Amino acid sequence: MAYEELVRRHQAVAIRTAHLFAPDGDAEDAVQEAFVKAHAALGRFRAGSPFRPWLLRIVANEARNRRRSAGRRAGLALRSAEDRRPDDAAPSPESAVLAAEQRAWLLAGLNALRDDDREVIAARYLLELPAAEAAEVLGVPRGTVKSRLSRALRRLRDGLGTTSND
Amino acid sequence: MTDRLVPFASSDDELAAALRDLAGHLAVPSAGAPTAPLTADPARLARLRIEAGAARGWIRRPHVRPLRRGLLVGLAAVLAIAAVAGAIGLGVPGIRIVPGPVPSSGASAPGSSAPPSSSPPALASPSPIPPPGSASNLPGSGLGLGTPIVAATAGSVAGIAIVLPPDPAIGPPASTWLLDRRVSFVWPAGPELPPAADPTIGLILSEFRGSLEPGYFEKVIGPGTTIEPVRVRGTTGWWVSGAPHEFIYVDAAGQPAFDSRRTVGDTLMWSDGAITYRLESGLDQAAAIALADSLH
Repeated sequence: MAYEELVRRHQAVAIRTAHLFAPDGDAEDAVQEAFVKAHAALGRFRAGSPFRPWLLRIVANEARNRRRSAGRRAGLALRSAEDRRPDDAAPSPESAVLAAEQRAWLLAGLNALRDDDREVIAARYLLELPAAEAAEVLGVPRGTVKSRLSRALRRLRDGLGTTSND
Repeated sequence: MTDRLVPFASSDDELAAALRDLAGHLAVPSAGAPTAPLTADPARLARLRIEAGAARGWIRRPHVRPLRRGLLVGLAAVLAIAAVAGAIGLGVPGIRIVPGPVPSSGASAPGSSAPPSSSPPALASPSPIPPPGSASNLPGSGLGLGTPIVAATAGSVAGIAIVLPPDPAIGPPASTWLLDRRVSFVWPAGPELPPAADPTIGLILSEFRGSLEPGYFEKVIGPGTTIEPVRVRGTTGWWVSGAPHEFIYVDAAGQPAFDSRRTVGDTLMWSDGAITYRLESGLDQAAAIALADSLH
């Protein structure tokens, strides 16, 4: 079925999106549901516009809905394999430890953010979506992405400052 | 700890770079990875659910026959035809027929509703190049057929050998349109051409290179639409009739593009070598096939 082939091209980024928008949910399940909903909504897809942002917006909304209904909070986590690989570290053990510490610290700050702050950071820096695509996925005007991103980075930095001084 | 962490976030750019780095170290679910099991494959599971939903209530039939049935049977039959066509190579090369939602059933997004048959909006093409005179007055304008072009250049711009109705009573097309490399010729309704779904239109003949495209076409069929295989120009074609329907064209990059948002009449599709043809009109099946057979 052509639709399966079509959405599979975007499956990996869809799962990342669902996971980043709702870390405590079942991302694969959210994506499956979003793919079914997107199929039913194909008639509303505008001819000539890019498909990926349209699809990711549906994925993001599905993930958000699940986040709200889940009513609990589990943050993003670092890959555990990452920490168990000290042997093959090319950089010095010291800098590897530093990098790991920095990541854990940054992640803690990210997890402490409000949902909308974390979403815009996720869209632009974790998913590395272009600004226009991030705007469509987030469902806000492009200018709002810029202002929201700036605000989110400020809050992240504020939060990190607090964290590092604790 | 503060000493070595503060410089790391001293500017937005540095913070952004750190976040990008972080992205590669996050734990994410494994689906989407090549090693992911099929049971954790959302695309596959979604497809199975969609097909199950479409085929619900359907009793398997031993043969694919011309079908004019009720809603559910019609949908299921389309599924069956698609499966058979895919399996044994029937039908139009480059075209796949799948059941789908009804885009014109009223659930359209703001600003994207199907144009009414009267007073359609201006050209949907992003960069129309109107010939002398206003393109919006041409038959077929507002139907999403693309940009008006001169009929004589159609074959060269589309890269195909054009065929047209030789019948002088039908005459030359009133307008010619180009969308990507798809050429569409439009005739208004008249004595030889009864009105199609759009009462001002008698015939839309579209010709495009189908099998050279590595992508494929999907036909979105909704309730009330039936489809049956027919013989046309010595090959197997498809007669799609009933409720209005739309095409989705999926290009090589995986981008689905709606052929148009127009509502069309009953449609005859077939392929001749690398070229795919679509004839939309108010003609009945026999007349449409006769017209198709006469094209040269």
